[in-house]
Amino acid sequence: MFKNYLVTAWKVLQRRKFFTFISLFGITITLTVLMILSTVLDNFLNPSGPSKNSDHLLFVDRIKVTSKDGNSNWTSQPGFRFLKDNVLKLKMPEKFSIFTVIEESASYLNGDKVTNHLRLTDSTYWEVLDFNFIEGHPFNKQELESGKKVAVINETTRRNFFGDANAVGKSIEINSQKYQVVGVVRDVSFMEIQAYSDIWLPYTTSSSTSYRSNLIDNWNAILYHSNSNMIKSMQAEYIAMLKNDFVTPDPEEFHKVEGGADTLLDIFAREFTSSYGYDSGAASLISILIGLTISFMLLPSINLINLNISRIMERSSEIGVRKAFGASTTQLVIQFVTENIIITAIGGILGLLLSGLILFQIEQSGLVPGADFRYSWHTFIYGSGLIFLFGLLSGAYPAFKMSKLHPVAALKGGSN
Amino acid sequence: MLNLNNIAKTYQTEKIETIALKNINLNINRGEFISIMGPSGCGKSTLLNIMGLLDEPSDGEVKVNGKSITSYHDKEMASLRNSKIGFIFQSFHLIQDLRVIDNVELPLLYRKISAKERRRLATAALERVGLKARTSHFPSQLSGGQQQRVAIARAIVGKPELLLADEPTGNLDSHMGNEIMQILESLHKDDKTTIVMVTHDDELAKRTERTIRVYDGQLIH
Ligand SMILES: Nc1ncnc2c1ncn2[C@@H]1O[C@H](COP(=O)(O)OP(=O)(O)OP(=O)(O)O)[C@@H](O)[C@H]1O
Ligand SMILES: [Mg+2]
Repeated sequence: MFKNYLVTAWKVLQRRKFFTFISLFGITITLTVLMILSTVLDNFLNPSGPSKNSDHLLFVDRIKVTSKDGNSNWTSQPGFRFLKDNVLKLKMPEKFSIFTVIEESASYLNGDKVTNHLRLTDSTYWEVLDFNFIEGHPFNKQELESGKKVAVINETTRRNFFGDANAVGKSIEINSQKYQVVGVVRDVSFMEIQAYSDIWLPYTTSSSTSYRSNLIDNWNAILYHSNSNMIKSMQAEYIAMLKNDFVTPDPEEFHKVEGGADTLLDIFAREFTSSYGYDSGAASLISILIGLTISFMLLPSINLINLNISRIMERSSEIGVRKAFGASTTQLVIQFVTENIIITAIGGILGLLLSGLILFQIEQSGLVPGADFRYSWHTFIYGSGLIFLFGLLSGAYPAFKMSKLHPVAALKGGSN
Repeated sequence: MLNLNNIAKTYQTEKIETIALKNINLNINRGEFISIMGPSGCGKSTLLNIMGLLDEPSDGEVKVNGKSITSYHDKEMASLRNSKIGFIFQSFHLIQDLRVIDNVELPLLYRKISAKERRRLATAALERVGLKARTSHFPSQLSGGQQQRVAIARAIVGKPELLLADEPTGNLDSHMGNEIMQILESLHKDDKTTIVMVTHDDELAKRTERTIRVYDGQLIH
């Protein structure tokens, strides 16, 4: 029986080329946009590179500082001083790492100036993040403490400087200083904002030490625990520290600090909802995303429902005939829903292909350095779920309305 | 095989109540060929729709093979229509999106019959009405007479006991009308199908066994 529904649906859709085209167009575009957005978001929230163990990590990425009189506040990346005096004193994390955000560095290659992304880090950075070394090894605690001029570079930088040859042991000039390469890592996606860079140096090799006294600056911290269930308690400890034990170099100006030790979702939520207080806005972000997805899906669904309903008139004779020859209401509902599911499934497959193609193009274009936009299985399930919901949403109501038509009225033209 | 007892049908529209049928008592026996005649608007189609279980009477009782169907639900009515009744409409009512053969197979879709068997029965029905060569055409590619013959093939493909035809020749010229009438006569004679046909044509009515006259919603004798 179900095969009959499929065959009939297929025949009807083939004949209704215009209707099929319009419906497919709406569904394909909607799904393409949704799949692209969700894949990008998924890439950010579930990284596959060095931060793939992100459920063991918390990031101190933003702090909001308020002055004593309450008249001024700043939201910024934390400074070295804040991390040293406060974050590194937390009890729960098993490991800490502090490092800077990326900045541009200058090097000269055969007389031409080249710019690279540069990050200053400590040595535990290489323990809490899981880099893939293709040559050499990271710099260690001793090299950090002695301020040794060593560098880890990525594959692309090695190719630029040394061609196909090995790089370890060779020297590289960065910001007019010579560094010795100790390790080469695979390129990291730009989406992994704490891991991505071209060059990593021990922070102690910085030419100035003024960063040591800044409460707000361009630093970041990672808190690590081997048990991912401890993440919640670590977040609570961080907030308790901010509220009760915050140590400040300047109690007048830096009186109070708000913020949180964030998961990747929290980081995204803060930027998206501009929540820089103790609450990251993750809960509102999730409701916003669900709301946006639903309203975005609603557009083509309503379009499809409209097209379907306007076809009731057109197809009323068919409904009357089918009823006259023995179709029950249930059978008609199944038939119309099947038609719709087929059309949404085709639109869905087209959407999956199209979004895959676009993501591939973005990846190839180098717009997002090192990006790896493959569909992960949960994005795929998410997409298929959306497609099914879509088919049901836009098929069920018109189908119900169509099938309820009285056979005599349907044969006359379906006015009631 | 079909009994109508004291059937009435009224249509309630916003202000006025239209009495389409009243006091209808009618027995249709197995194997009869009956014509229904009467002026336009007298209730012929309404009567035929009630016989075909497409419409429910406002009052009275319909019995199929001695069983009252008053309490039947949608599913039971659908299965009864599917197994016992074949319909032919004045305006053909073929599904434009389906090919001739698929149109004819339609009643069989609601039975447990394999695709192969459906195809065989539909081809046989089309052969019966002389249209075997047109199976893969779409309805719009056929003449009116040919379309009505497809509609007849669809009505008889499930071998119904009762064939109901609402002005089957109304949209056709007399030559085509005659062809259709000949097919109905052969179904009656050779297949013993019970046929009820609404017509405005006295000549055609004379060729049936019994003529029922309707006037203003009532039977006249
Ligand atoms: N859905 C409806 N609502 C209101 N009145 C209706 C409806 N359907 C039919 N009628 C009325 O019922 C009466 C009988 O209609 P019916 O269609 O049975 O006539 P008929 O004898 O078949 O006419 P014709 O020869 O023109 O086909 C008419 O007066 C018609 O206006
Ligand atoms: Mg009529």
